[in-house]
Amino acid sequence: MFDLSPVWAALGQLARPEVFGLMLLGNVIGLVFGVLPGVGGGNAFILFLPLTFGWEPEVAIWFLMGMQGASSFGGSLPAILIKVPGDTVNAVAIFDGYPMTRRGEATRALGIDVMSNILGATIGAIVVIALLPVMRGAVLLFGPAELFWVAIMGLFTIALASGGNFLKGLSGGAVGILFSLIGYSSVIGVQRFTLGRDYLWDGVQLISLFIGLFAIAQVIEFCTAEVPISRLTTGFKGFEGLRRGAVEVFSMPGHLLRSSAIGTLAGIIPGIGATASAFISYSMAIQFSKKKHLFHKGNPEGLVAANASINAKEMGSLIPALGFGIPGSIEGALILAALLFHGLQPGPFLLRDQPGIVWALILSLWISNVFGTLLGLFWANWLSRLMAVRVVYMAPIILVSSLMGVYLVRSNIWDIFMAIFFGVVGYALNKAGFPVVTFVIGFLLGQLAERYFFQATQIGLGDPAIFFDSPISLTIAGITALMVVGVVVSGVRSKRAAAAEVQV
Amino acid sequence: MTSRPWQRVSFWVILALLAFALIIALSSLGLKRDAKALPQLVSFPLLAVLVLLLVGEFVPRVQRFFTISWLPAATPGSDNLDEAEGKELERELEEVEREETAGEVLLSDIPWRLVSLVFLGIVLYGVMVLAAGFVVAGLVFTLVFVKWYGGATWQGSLLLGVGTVGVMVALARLLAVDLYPGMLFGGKLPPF
Repeated sequence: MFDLSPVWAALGQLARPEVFGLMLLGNVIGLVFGVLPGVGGGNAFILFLPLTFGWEPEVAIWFLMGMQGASSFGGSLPAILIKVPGDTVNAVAIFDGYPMTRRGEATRALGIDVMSNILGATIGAIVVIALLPVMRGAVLLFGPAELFWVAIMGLFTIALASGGNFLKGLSGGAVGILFSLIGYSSVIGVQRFTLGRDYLWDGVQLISLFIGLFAIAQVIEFCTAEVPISRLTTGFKGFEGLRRGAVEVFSMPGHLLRSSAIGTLAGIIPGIGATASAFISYSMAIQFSKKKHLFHKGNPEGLVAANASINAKEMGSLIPALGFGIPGSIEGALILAALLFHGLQPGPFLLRDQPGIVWALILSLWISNVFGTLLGLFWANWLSRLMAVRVVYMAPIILVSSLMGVYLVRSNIWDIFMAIFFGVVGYALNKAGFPVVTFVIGFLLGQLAERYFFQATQIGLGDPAIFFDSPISLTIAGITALMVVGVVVSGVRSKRAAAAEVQV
Repeated sequence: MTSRPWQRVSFWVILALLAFALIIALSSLGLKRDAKALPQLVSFPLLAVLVLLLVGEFVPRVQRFFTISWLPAATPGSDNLDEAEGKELERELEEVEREETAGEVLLSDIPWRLVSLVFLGIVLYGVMVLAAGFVVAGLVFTLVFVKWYGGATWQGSLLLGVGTVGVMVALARLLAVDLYPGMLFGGKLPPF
């Protein structure tokens, strides 16, 4: 018989006014940090963790998860409204959220954002609750060779899905991988491609890359194209736009469920970050959509896919963290840090001996996702006024705050020049028709791919057959190959059809 | 395509990427086996793909062969679309096609003077941070940018500068991170 007493105990904690108040405070902090470009909710979590010393562990969990749950929605607000992601994970919300804003449909986009956040987290929570007892064996089926194929599939999928010139997409991804290999590799124990510079030993910093490619490139675009942030406020019809967007999410159950499933799975499999899972969900949404050509141009399906995946992924990351005591991602690592900070040892024993803590974690993350998102709605209207501000006023604020955010991560002044460099790279790639998205996904998957590649070859004693040994590897490799063949063949067919039409 | 390859931005970006891939490929030759496996697995095929892209700049047919368009899959009138969806898609399709045909960016399309000015401004801001730190550089940059580029009043520019820097300083305090004070005020440079 399933014992519900720890569930009621966890919910009972929330009924305490001080706990509820702390969760809401966590939501507010998470939203504020999430909105600030380059700062992100992770910093808020680290900053406020020491403050919880001496608190009851359950109370601290509600507060910290309050921050964690709200920050992703906070980060998606500036991504949708001004094309500057609050955090790296929110970059994918730009692709369709920002074009909707430019069309004057900001409130509709925010409505979609809110509902897909809530539903993604809810679906993720349901899956986590259902899978928690049985997940340990399943995760162990994925060895390095299988995980290598997962990384490769992610890259090919996004290259194909980005449309336009496939070769540009693929080469952008490959360049991203090469950038990720710069510096000291802790897996292999060598430093590469550093040009003799000490600074490059640590490799290209993720935050510099993201702030450069998105925020700085955007500042250059703002100032040179002199475009208004929005075609302004025709879409601002109070809550009607929000309601319309929120309801619209229910008309896309396929995208919602698929992306939530991908997000949850990405959370479960160690190493697949929230950003990668959001991009993979996005590319899968393109594959399955009837309106493929509208992606990157303000397709609500893209926004649903990205947001549902991000929030489901947060829930999914609880499984390896709680079940095995291993961080599946940054979010998982933060959760583990919080547990250890309060003297709790994550792992199978936690599941057995501390069910109250486990349920407090699951429920707090889910409920704070819902509350944080709803709370963010009140901020949304206020933040949307940013769009009435002239671009030339926004540009220096974005530049100064973004570069300061880059510095705050590890206090290295050279990181801001790295961000400026990637700003120019992003601007050039955009103008040349190279999808920045494949560059980013390549960068994210590069180090993962190398780690799994190295581990697999070590296990296989150098024999490449290791990559085709297991049914899972073969299946993932087969799916990757089929995707490439299928899309290229359909491309060739469409060319022939077009040629035939011209002849007729 | 009526323009010549070297008149297009994409041509020069492909050349830059080729140079980058070539440097990585050549540098990886001297590495030990494990360290060069993935770099070579990626860089050599990348070189081939970039050469193909370069050829495509001269021979448009090559480029078109690899251009994946999602449009046929969503062509109006296909079985899985109702009439309303078909009309909507038809309208959207026309818009997309217009955008795609106008998508090629020529070097002459780039407002070089403005781009150079903005880029120089950003680099100058970075140098100012190095010299005088985040607080002074942030304040000066915002003030100057908003006043001269944006045409705002002195008071408005100052308010925006102080507000922006103030928030960032408060955040840094909260995170217990010392903002870089600048070399003029005793800041030390980390190794480069």
